[in-house]
Amino acid sequence: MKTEWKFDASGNSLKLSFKELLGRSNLLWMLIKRDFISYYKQTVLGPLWILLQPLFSSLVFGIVFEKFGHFGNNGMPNTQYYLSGFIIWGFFTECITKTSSLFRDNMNLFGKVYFPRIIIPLGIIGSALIRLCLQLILLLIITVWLSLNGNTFMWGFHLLFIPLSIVMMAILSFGSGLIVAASTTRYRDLAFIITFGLQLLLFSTTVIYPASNLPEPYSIIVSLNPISVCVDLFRIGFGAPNTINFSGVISCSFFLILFPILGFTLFHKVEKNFIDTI
Amino acid sequence: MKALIAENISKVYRKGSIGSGSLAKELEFGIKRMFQSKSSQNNKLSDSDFNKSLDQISFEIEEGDRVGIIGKNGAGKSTLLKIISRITTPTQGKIRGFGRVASLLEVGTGFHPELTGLENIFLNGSIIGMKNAEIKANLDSIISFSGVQSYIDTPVKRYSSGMYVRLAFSIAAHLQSEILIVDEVLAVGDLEFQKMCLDKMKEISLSEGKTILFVSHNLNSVSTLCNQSMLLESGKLLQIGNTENVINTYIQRSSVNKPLSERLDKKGNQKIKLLQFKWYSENEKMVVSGKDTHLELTLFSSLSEDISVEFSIAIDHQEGFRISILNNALISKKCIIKKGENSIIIKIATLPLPIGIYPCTFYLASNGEIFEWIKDAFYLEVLGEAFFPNGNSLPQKQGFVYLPFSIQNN
Repeated sequence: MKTEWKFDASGNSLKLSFKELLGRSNLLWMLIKRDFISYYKQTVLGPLWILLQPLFSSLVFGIVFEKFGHFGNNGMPNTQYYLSGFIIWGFFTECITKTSSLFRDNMNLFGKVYFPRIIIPLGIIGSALIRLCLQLILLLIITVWLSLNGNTFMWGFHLLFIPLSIVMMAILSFGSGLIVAASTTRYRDLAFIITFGLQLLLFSTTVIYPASNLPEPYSIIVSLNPISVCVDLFRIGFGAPNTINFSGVISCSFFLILFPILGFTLFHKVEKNFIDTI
Repeated sequence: MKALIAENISKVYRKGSIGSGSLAKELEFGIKRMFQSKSSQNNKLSDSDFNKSLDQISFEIEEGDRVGIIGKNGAGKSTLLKIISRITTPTQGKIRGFGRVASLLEVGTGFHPELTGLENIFLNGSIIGMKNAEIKANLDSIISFSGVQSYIDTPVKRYSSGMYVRLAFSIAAHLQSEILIVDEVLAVGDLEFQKMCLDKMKEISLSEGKTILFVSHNLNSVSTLCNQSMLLESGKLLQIGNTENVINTYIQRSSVNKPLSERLDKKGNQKIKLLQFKWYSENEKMVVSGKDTHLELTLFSSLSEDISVEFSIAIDHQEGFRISILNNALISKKCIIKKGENSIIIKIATLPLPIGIYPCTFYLASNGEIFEWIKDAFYLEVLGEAFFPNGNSLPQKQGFVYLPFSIQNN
């Protein structure tokens, strides 16, 4: 019954933290629940905002880009194209922005009670994933509705790219979120940079335009961006007539390994005694 | 069976504003170091840049022991507790523990105002490490103990502060942990609430045989509650063992001042010298607020004839202001000093000062001739509190002096 623990200069051993983590799944659920309840309390539309947010973004960018930009969308219906892009982009930004401030947001908690700290970012990813799933249902309904109205929608193995791209995106956001979270405890300046960085990042992905329709040097940058790869795979899952960009997949797999490892290492380094420095 | 084993724990803080959080500062520091390393070989930080909050501390605590941790402010008590509760890592050494560690006075940690009372019970419970099944098993008694049954489905932001605290405390009181930490120094909330916590803690420790770590400035409460104690002094573990012995050591060490004969900052012509002083409370081995307290002074006169003197003992607060003075002229008491050794005993009835260290300045003169004048000549160290008959203390930051009051109703 009594759990033995050891604690030294290297903090809690990772092995032990993971063992403890398994016993703390109820905390994870409570954090996700807390997030949901607190987020939509006292809003008129409540959880409907989960669906409205990507719809609004799609509408804005759809109108601006279609009327003035003419970037095209590789033959996917507009609604689907922008909505799928912003759903998965929204997931990424939510994870990053919330994770980036997690040490500051939970300072009070961290300064008083011990629990495996990694539960907090896991909870953030968890609640973002639930939101993503709800938005996914909306996207599926729209896809089916479009197919009934003449668009051809094929059932097939390409549907497997939907969960695959979500998992990839989750790993990417988790890893980069941890890196950002760990860095902001030391350099608060980064918290300001995040806002601009995300805007810039949006324009270097295929969320709002396909890479193939961009001029030469930019199209390569955009197509090698790991987020673009996830976005494209996600769209292929919804029947976009893209082909898989293999150089992009290779670059993406590199980041899929690098980010979580780097993220974990930095996070573990910071969680030990950030309370002394913050 | 051991509950905690600490081996050579040290905690070192770096002085100064290194790593203060701004990228610009960090860059500046980095560049400075780069240039320094070119100009001088030895750019390593020296020992004086570090502050040892804990220094090579080792101890073992048996399961079921109630251990008091005593020491002055800055002795390292809070740092030790932070390491034991795994909030911050030791710089060196390691600690092993058996069972969950929880802190009773950190009630309401992680409470979310938008969640209902019931939801907060589960959230708070899971944050402090209770399993869902444990929370459910205790749910009824948590709710009934809190006394907020009818509001349990209301968001806690609509609670009165009293209800909020009661619910929070009720969860903490039903905490299923094996090692319990109580830091009285950090106690929050009103007096009634603090007392409720301490009473509950005593009850738990005695009935359930939990291991308890208790930090307090009040030696009275340590001695009534703890069977074992450890004494910290500037980061070092001075003694661990039987509470009575440890407290005795603490009292002895705390009354050690620099001998008056070695003081170089004496003013006055030294024709009459202060040799010794001793503070004590009646029927106590230390100075306790609320008790009749005596200051015994030993003076030595090298004057050949008797002389009537005026003397003054000024008692200061540690924050620098003067609390009051004890002066014989003030109460029109004539004091005659003979040749050789003299003794003066000053009595303060029901000492109204709370636990703390009070620097005292001594002044002795006659007709404008100053014999002895020593700033901060000695300290009045109040180590226990028993001002009110029920044993209550002034809440933190609620004043620096006790007023003897009574209340009549209707």
